Amino acid sequence: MVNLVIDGQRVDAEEGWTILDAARYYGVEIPTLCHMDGLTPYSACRLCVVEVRRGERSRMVASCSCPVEVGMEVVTKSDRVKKARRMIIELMLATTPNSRTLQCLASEHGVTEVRFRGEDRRCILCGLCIRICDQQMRGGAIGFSQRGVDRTVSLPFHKTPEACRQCGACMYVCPVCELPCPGTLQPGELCNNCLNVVEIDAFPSAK
Amino acid sequence: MAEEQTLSMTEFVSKVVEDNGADRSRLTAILADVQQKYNYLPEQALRDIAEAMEVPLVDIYGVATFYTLFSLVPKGRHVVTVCMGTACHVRNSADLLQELSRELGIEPGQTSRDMSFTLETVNCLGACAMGPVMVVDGKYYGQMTASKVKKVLKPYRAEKVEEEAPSGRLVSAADLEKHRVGVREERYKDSTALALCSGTGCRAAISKEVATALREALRKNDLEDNVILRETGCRGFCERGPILTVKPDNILYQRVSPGDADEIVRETVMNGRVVERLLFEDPETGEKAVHEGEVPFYAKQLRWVLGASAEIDQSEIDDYIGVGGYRALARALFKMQPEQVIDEVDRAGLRGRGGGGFPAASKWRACREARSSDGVKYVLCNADEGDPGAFMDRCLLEGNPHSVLEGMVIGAYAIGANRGFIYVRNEYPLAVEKVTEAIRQAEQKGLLGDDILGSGFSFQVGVSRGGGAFVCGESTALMASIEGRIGEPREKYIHTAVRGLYVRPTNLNNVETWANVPIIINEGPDAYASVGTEGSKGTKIFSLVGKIRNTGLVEVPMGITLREIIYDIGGGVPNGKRFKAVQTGGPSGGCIPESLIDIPVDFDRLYEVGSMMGSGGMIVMDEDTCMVDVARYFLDFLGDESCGKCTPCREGLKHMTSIVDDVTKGRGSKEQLELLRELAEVVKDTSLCGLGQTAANPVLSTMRYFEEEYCEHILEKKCRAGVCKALIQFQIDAEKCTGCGRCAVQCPSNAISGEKKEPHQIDRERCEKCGICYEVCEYDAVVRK
Ligand SMILES: Cc1cc2nc3c(=O)[nH]c(=O)nc-3n(C[C@H](O)[C@H](O)[C@H](O)COP(=O)(O)O)c2cc1C
Ligand code: SF4
Ligand code: SF4
Ligand code: SF4
Ligand code: FES
Ligand code: FES
Ligand code: FES
Repeated sequence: MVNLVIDGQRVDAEEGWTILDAARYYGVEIPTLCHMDGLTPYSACRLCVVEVRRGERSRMVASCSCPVEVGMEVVTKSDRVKKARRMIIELMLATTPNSRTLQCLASEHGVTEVRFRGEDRRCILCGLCIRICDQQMRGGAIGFSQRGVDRTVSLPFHKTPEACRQCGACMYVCPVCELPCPGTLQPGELCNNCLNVVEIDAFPSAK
Repeated sequence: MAEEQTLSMTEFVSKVVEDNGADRSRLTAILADVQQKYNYLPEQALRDIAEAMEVPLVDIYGVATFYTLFSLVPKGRHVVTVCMGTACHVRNSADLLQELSRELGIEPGQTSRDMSFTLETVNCLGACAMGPVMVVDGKYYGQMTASKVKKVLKPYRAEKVEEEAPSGRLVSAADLEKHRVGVREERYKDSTALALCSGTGCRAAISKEVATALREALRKNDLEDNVILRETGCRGFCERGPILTVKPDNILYQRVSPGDADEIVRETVMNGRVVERLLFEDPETGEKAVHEGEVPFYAKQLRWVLGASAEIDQSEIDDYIGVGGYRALARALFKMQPEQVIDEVDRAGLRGRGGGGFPAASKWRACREARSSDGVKYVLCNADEGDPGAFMDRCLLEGNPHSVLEGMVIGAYAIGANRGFIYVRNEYPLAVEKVTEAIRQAEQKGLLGDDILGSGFSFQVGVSRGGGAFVCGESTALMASIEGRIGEPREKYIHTAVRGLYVRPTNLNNVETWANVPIIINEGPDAYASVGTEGSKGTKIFSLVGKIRNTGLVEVPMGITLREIIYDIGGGVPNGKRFKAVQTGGPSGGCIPESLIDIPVDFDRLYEVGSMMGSGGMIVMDEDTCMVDVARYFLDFLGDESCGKCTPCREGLKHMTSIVDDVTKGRGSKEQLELLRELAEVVKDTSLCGLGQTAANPVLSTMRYFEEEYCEHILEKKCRAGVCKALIQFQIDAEKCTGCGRCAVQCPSNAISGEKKEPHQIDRERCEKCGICYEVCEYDAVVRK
């Protein structure tokens, strides 16, 4: 058993758990994009960052791969974390404006404008498709090519390789290849409709 | 050869795979071999490789597109490579590239339609002292300017260049000496010996021809058997190359040319007289220096690590043994317990020279204590040297590879590791060759491999070649690259000392760190720690480049001030210009302004002022360097070199670059700068690896110390250094212009007109701001505003 503190709450976690595992077990929400149970952690989107404090020192870690340690103090909603999350969502929206998932995240986390020059690349390079193809479907048909800003998910020589069985798993896991968010018209624009929805008390009797 | 010609592609590929072994770790080597043969990587070849190696095609495609070394499209007959490294950048390599691109009619990365030329860029060739540097088919051209382009390209256009065998020079050096090696008695008697620098800088300055001429002169005088000619590694003073020292008196000659060979042999070698005109002359006092120590460049240096390079031939293990090499290894193996070795390194206070300055002993200890599933542990040497403008590791590996090997074997013994790799960047083919040769020699002598010196300890080491990716210097990316995968970092919550290469405990140190190890064992930890500051011990090698009089490699005691390095050793800024800043730490570091140059060279102090020690690049900037442009340069570099895995680094760098680029084009705003600061904070906080975490340093440090330059660009649309093209104009001062017409002839866009002997004018519409007129005018009549 590993004893640690998450958002002020003392909790016990199993040896080998990640911070994300522990947080989810105890019902603490941490947003993620490139993480999926059953696939190896990749820690690329950085949306799941949390602050880990040890005395005076504090650092930011990716909760989806950072293992729990005894005595760790995890803070999932500090200003530093919130600022980072908002910026990451904003950066992703600048390249993939019409993803419903991202638009929803924007509303949830209070991102109300995109201040960067936009494009429409329709992929956030989370690598879920590549990992599901390789690790669950035993396909190994798609992969990353190029690097830096030019990085893309691609088929070798842009031709469907024999290894692909057309199972569709890649499309299934993709947070971007889905029906686009219906509320937006132009790249760079934010829907934020859900922001307004939150204002309305949907279940008044529950209070 | 003839036999190979007849092989089909599939046969050739299977032969290459067979020769290299089908192991995944050989993938980059296999791809390099195939590319060498076909000039690029044909699709069919990749399919064949996938089949032969039983690796998914998509993985091979990923690797082939990740590393800049590889090309999926055919290349031209001549490959022109322009260095875009920092040292070359501050000396205007951008203008050079623009001119080449115009001359050849192709953009960087393209091949001309007739397949004659391919134009490429590279981030540092490790010949920074000669900057700006370009390479055509492996031949180096130093001190290039836009106006020299036509002339350099001419012979290649005519297709009549005699081939320069890239490896010939090494073989001859080894061949010459091979039958005469042996013990110290033979090679280090008091007799006369010549030590000619054959480092990259001196090579560009024809040291090869000098060697041939010297050898010829010795032969003519029947001295070839009595006088040893050593071809050494870089002596640091590349600015004055080729450098030659004559033993036993240690007379130092500089700027030696082949024509001097006869006189040197006749006068100095045979009669012990000094050839005055080849001595170094102080440009200020006019005083001549006969010996190394009298030259100001060397006077304040402490050449613990580099010193031996001057005494030994690059490719002679016996020379290294002759000057005391491998003594430390024997001592460690037979007189010390592994823990004791670690303790000594600890007491010496050795910190990593690769950038971070992490205490070496702590890493060794962690790795020693880590458990390996099958007992295998690895010891690695980081010779990726991605920092543009730095070439220390290159010189060490080329000039004294055995000191690095010896350090590694000692480290492996201390850690309990039996296997290792030296990861050398692809841009350093000569270093790869020297190290490979050194390994072979050491194995033959029983200093490496099985049962070293009969001690029972075994250590195998191999060479792994990079593929042109800066990020591969990062420890986890380096390990992925050695394993034959994309050089992509991963999280290190579990340290590589516990789970590294092939999931085994692994210890990685930099080239220079390893070369320090034998010194500690030989001199003892206390003597070692007596040099330096509280937290930084020993010496540090810097490559002193940019706007400085004496460019080259310097090794200084820790604690020396930046001022001493720049002014006393480097001789200050040339051409009467004003010093502005010095950049250390490469793309992760920062710019230090004049007001702070009295701080000492010390890991912690440099960090405090917003820079870092880094691997040792030290780029001096003068009033003609624009600090906003420097920031944009580094952001651009990092954007290119980011692996693209994580969002903040990949996307953040793109937008940071675009914001700073706007500033250089006069389109910036204060609000955008605020956004930049906000973004920089998040990129630093959330990026996965060191590249992203430090990527904002160059821009933050320039904003911190040179805010007024940013403001000028934004508010006044002015670039005081005259670098940002969008903000400057070229004009001719009618008072000074003599009407010689030189500029008009050279102007590539025919923008200059005027009658002979009358003041000329520049047509602003046509002017492409290449700066050639500014460069060629002998009357300083062209002004940049
Ligand atoms: C992006 C990046 C590039 C790096 N490049 C190099 C390099 O070229 N050479 C090097 O020795 N270390 C480099 N490092 C540092 C290494 O990761 C590692 O810390 C170092 O090799 C450890 O050796 P040392 O402790 O002897 O310095 C780089 C780090 C990062 C994050
Ligand atoms: S295609 Fe979709 S699943 Fe694949 S990396 Fe891009 S966003 Fe992720
Ligand atoms: S910080 Fe940059 S280089 Fe490092 S893993 Fe992320 S994208 Fe790659
Ligand atoms: S080179 Fe100088 S002096 Fe000659 S015409 Fe041009 S501006 Fe005038
Ligand atoms: S979910 Fe952790 S980095 Fe993407
Ligand atoms: S050779 Fe150009 S910067 Fe090093
Ligand atoms: S290459 Fe000769 S002194 Fe540097």
